[in-house]
Amino acid sequence: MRAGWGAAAARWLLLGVGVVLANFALPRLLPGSPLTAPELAPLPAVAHQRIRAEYLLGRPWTEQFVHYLGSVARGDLGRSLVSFRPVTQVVGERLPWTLLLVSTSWTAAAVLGAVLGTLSAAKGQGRWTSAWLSAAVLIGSLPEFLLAGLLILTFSVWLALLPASGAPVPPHSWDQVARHVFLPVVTLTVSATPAFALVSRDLVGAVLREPFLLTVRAKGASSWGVLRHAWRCALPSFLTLAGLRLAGLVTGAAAVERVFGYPGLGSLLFDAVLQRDYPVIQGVFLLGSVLVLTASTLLEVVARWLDPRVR
Amino acid sequence: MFLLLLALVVPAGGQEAPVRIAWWTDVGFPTPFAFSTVGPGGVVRLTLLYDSLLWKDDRGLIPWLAESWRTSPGGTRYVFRLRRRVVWHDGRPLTARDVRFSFAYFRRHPFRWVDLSVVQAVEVQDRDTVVVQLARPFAPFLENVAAVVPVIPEHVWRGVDTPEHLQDLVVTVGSGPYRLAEYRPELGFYRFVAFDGYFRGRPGVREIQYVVVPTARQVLAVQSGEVDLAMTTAPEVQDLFRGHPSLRVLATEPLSVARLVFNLEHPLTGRKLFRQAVAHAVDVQGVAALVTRGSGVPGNPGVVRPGDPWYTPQVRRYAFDPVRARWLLRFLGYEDRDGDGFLEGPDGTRLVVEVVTSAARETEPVLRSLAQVGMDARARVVDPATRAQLAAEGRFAVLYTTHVGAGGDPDYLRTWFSGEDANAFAAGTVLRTPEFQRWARLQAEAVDPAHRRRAVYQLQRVLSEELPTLVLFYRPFYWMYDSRKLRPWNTRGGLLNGIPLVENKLVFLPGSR
Repeated sequence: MRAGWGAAAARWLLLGVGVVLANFALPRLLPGSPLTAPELAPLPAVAHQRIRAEYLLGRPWTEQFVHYLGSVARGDLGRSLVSFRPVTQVVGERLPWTLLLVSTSWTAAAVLGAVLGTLSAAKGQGRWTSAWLSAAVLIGSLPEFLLAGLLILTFSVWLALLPASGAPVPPHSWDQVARHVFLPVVTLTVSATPAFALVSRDLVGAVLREPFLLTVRAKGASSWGVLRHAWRCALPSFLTLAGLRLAGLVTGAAAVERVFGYPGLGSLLFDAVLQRDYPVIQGVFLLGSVLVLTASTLLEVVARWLDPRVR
Repeated sequence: MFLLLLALVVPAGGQEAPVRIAWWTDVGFPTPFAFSTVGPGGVVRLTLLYDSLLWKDDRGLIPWLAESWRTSPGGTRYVFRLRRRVVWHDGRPLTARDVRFSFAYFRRHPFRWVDLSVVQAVEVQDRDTVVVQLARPFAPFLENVAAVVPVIPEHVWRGVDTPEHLQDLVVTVGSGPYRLAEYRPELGFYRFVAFDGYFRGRPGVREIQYVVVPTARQVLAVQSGEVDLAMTTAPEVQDLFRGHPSLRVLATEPLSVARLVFNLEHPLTGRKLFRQAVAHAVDVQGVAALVTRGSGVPGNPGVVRPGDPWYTPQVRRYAFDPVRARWLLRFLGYEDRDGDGFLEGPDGTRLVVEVVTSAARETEPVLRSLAQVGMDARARVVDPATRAQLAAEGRFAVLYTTHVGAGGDPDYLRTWFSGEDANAFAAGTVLRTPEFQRWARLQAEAVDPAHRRRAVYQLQRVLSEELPTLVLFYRPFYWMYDSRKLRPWNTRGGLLNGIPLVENKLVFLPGSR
């Protein structure tokens, strides 16, 4: 058990180091420089020199990396090269929006997927099962932006029921934010549900074929009781896979945010990349990676705790 | 969980119906030091908070903070008489000292939209009179400097060393018709409320809000009533809104230009005959009609738009003539030597022309034109930042760019081709011929209007001969608006320096047109 935790901690540490390295290198591998991006190009030479000095632009990568590590260790992510605001503030303003979108979609997709998968597993093979499996694979393979476009066309243009843009105008009311966040959440949920459904179908189906469930049935347990037993066995694996799926959902959220003009970290990252705003790119990557790693690790912890074979 | 996260983004409150304007992105904190220069949205928004010495309406320059002005015979000294009873948003009076402070402060902390290096000194003559001394005569001074540079309050900015870092509502004190009441950068949301102490009277529109709407959905946003003013380049909106009881469309002057920029240091495009061959090869009329769907004005080799007050037809013309283009290319040694349909140089290598672009679809008809005369024309599609980088470093042969600014004072004929333009999308080539430099300098420094006009005409002639750029078309912007909320109109030559935006602060002031 202890060895298992040690391995998990070592993996977390290794991933953390990888994240920091990638986080530093990726913006610098982009073609172009902040100083020639349309945002900063108009600044006079004096201002360019000041920015060069402040961000060590043009200095060796090693020097920039040491400076970057020192700043991250102090919790100082620097200032945006474009808006001149502290990155922690810029990222912090967007974080609740992305958390709202991702956590809602992830939870909805997991629950919906689990229900559909369980029903399918319980029904066994058949014409309807094949039909919905095909539909799930088809929907799951649609890119998020296409799904988003279809939903906008349906609910905003034809039915005129929901706003097309994801950014509600302040001051916000609960219903207004819910109306704006609805379509982005539906897009991500619809996109993620098939994967959860297929996984839970396989997991529950496999458990249902286990001999110990014969005993449960022989004891006169209802169908619901049998499924409850099955899920107790399937849940640890389901949670681990759900954790892995979280990273995919965060990536998908970036595209969905862009399509809907939703004010989350994905939109921020998109703009920052176009503007070569290194500090913001690094801030978003770092925060996104830490969040996904933390959530995955937490889910792994819960999964281990639930699994009596490991516990 | 959902409710908890919802609570993080939902503060409470209530408000009255404002005029709501759509833009496609956040444009930064609205001070002269932190606003965004990607596109003209940021600098235009500043004009609601700050005033300049002069301003423009639909007929041209008008007195603003300065009620009158006079110029010295040599064109290097401008004396501005300021209005009395102009106050800052915090109630303090605006004086000549503030004007002097503004120019002095901008020397240390540049106002990125305008190059102020021509201003040598600013002196206060008395409380209401300020004298601007230029290093040399500068004909565009009134329109491109005095009517653009915001006057900032000395009592707010004095002693501030890093003004771009100072981003608090309290420092947005200006003398303009609106005060900034709220700014939410993550939403790109701005709320401006009317300043009742404004010297031109109480603004009729009590509140203006700017909201972010993705470009592709601006039409929908106006139709659904989410916003009252939004922009598109699609001419079809005129038909879409025709006959609508309240929604209208205002077409601006075609101040947005699309052009090919040639790298004059490149072995291929550095040759004038090659550039002229391209000009003959490209069906400018056809490209303009196709890309703008009939709404654009075909490009003029002299750069200035036909219909502009500074336009002259006395420039070199390049008829669409593929035969002549092939003849010129043959003169340069390019022939189809192996019968494969592509031209090869004397050493047998194929004539490859790479066009750097961020708008692949708009570049497509140009590539087809070039292919028809035997060039192996290819698009290199990159994002705008990479395009700006390639342009700044001269790592391109031909570059397709679109930007605003083809209007107002014609000094852009100098800045676009001398590497001095603030707009990164207007950069990319420096024309070093003595004739260009001579006429560029003469038009900028001409004191006599007739002399200046002659110099501007000569400059157009030189540009049409040298072809550092091939203008493909000029296109208007279409502003969709709710006529019950506001009635926008076009500023002559565009807002500030050639910007086809319609939220001129005069639109929001009663009876000011």
